[in-house]
Amino acid sequence: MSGVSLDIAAQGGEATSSRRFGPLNAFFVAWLLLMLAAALFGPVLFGDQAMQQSLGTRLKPPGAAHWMGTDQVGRDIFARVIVGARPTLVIALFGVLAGMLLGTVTGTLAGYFGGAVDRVCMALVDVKLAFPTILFAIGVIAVFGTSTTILVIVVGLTGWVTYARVQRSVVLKVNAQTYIEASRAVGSSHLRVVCRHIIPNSLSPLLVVASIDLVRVILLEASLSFLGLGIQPPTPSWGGMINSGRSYLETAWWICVCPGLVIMMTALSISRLGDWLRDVLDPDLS
Amino acid sequence: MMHRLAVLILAKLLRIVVVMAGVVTIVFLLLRLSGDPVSAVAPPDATVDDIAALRKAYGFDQPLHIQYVQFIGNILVGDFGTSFQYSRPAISVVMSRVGATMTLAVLAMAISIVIAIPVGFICARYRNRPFDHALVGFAVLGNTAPTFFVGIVLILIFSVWLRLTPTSGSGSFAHLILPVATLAVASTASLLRMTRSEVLEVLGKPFVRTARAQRLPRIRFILAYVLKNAAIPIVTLAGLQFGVLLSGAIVTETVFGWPGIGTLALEAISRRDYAVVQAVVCITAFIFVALNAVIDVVYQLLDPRIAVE
Amino acid sequence: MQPARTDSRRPDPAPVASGYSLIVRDLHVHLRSRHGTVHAVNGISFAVKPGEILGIVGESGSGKSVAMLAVMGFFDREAARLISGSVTVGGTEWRELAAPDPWSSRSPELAIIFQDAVSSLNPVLTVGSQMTDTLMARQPKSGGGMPRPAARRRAAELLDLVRIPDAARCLDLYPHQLSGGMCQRVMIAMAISADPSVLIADEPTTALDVTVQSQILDVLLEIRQRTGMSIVMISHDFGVIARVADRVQVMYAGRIVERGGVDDIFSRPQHPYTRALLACSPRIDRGEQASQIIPGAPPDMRLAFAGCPFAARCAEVMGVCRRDEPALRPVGSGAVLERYAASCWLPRIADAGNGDGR
Repeated sequence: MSGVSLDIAAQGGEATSSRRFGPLNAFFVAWLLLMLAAALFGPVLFGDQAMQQSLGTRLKPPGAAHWMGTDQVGRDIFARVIVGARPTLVIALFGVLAGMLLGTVTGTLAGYFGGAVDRVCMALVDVKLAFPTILFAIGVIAVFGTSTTILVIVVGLTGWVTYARVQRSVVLKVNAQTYIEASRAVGSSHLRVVCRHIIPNSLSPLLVVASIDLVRVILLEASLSFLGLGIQPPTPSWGGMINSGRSYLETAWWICVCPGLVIMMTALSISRLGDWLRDVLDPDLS
Repeated sequence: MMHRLAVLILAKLLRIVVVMAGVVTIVFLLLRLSGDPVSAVAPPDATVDDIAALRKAYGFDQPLHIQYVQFIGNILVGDFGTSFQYSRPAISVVMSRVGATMTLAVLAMAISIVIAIPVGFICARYRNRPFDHALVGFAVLGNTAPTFFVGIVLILIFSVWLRLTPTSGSGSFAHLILPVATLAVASTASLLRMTRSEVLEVLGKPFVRTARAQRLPRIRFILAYVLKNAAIPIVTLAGLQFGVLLSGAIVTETVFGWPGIGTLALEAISRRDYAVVQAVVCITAFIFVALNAVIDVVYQLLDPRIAVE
Repeated sequence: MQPARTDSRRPDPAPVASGYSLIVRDLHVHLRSRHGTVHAVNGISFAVKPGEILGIVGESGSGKSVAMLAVMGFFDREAARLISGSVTVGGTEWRELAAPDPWSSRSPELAIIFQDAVSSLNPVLTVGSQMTDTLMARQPKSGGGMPRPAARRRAAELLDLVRIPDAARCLDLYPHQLSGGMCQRVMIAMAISADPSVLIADEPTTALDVTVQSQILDVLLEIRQRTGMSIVMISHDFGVIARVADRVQVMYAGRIVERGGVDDIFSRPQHPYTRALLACSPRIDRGEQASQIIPGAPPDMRLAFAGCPFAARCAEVMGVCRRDEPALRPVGSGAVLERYAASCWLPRIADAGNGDGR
């Protein structure tokens, strides 16, 4: 205990316990559940409202009738934001999964087999990192189009590197343990070693990476939609709404600001909950 | 020392070559995958004969591997093709616009470093006090706001409501402020959090206690004993941030109508001016890879414990 | 806890008369940690004479290191929920013990060396840089600063003093290029460079192998001989204590349970804990191996408890031990802070003195 207290004391004490869940985190969870509900039920409940143009109620500011105001053709922005949750979340979640899949496979190959395989994988990582993310994304989209599948793949392609690195270091660490040699000596196949020993060890670090990645992905999707390269109209998308509202910034700022705040709130919730998760899983992970 | 430096630089140069080879290959493949490349480079009113002539001129009638060799050869002499939009070699189009983007990125990077490192240090020093909580809060917001949204909000506040700055375009100092500020937000936020956590980590190390007992002058303590030890990860992150800045610049240029390679690339992609697209991607990648190599060398020189690979 | 005073330092009424280089009175340190408040030090008082080596022994968790770090002034209000007592060094008494300055220590008269010498030196500066920093920072007793070339020469002299071969070359090396023993010598050289009156050595030899241990202890003894500096030697190893200490203090659960001259403690230990420790310590100076461990574990320092802290593990425990905490009772005669004393309810101890308390 003396050693522990010395280190802590040297750092100036642990005045706050970040493992507490707290009311703020509860709020973030509530927000994400709301977004999830919007993704699941939004199009059904608000789909018509989101598409309904009404030139009589154009550019109305946020008020009782329209919580987030109306846009330049009279559509209710709140409804559009709710409906826009689904495509964003779908791309975000599946994009993260795609990246995780690609990354963990690469990382496992690199760490497990080492040598030339490792060097090739790490060279691939370097090559990927040489491309600025957005440029890479828009390049691929320009070639292959903007279908949801492509968007998911693109998002995954931009983010697999971190998963690969983390997985590779987990594999290297596990492989160095002597019980692996024992297991191998008894005749366990590669697959068995991977499933039995590697996967349980990598779940927690990968989850941490995923929480950070999810934030990045949501922001990326928003940027692509803003550039017109993501989710295509008439499907409402948060980034796309901000883009279409640009010319009305002077007269109807809410067209841009409301969807933007929703994006920020969602990213913030995921980010803070991810931090909390990291503190709970392993306070020493940076 | 000189010998070590020479070996380091040689290793980095080799790395750059390998990575750029990969980049260029991917660009080549992507272009070929987009369908018949001739129809991409041909003007809309081309006749069948024109197309055949173009195909021959560009070498698209050759087998793929020959095209690849030609492609590499061309790139090595700086020939990325001719932009049909501008009727100039693509490389000259790109180089004329690179400066504008670099201006944004470099200024944003400089502002980030100047703000984030001292403030991050202060946050670490006054850990868990109100100042720290407030600033980390700002940093978190800075990281969760999409760059284009930051730009739009800044335009809303400073151009529309306060009428202090122009809404778009370039050409004067006033035009520079908002785009640079927009870009700087995200990288300042990241650098601040990183500085704070690295300084905290250093402050917890045993040699800091010894330094206290040495009763050093405060400035020397902070610079040579704390920051010098925290510098390495911070410098590494700063290098990565530059890549993020280049990415962010592309979007920011769109928001502000800034004539850099971001707007150039988007325009070229929508018009299918593949020569320009090739040039933008390769040159941007090269800048980034070269910068990272420099950072690596600096980083290894900073820490005497790192051995040469 | 003492009320905060605007002037936290005042001249000690009897520094010269008492002739101590360091006096610590009624030190309490409660540290904040992730797991709660740790009552690391619970009211200890002791003193060290010039030229004397005081050994502090105890298991880890006994509070011996925390106490000396508190004396050095390394705990601020955020690390320590409570830090009270007084420290007198060089004729000045400090009653406000929380560190006022995160970049400095309490007094230039106090120096400290740590267990892991390699990690306790700045990894990105050469030995020479660090030593000249220290030399140029202190106002030497003769007054005035020191120019860099002079500092470098002095640094080389100090490295010679601690028996580092080829001192000039060592100045240009980085800590990671030196062995543990060499780094420890460098630390000692740095620590003594400003002529401190007290050197606190926190387990300086624990991480070193036996031959190097011996050399480092020799260096410390030699310095004491030359300069008359006091040394507070913290160790869990009785062999080290037996080798260098003049007086010994045994700590348990943040308290002093026994104190006395080194011969007294080793030949006729009074407190059951001291006896148990001695029985199971390997005596390197006698070439013995560890024979047994004391059953049980030290108490959880986050909790307050009644009675003697050793009661749960004591072979001679009595009913009163669980109810009332015994005070430090003198077993021999002499000055309060020096005389042979132990804190225990056993009749042979309680009856031996006149119950003066701490």
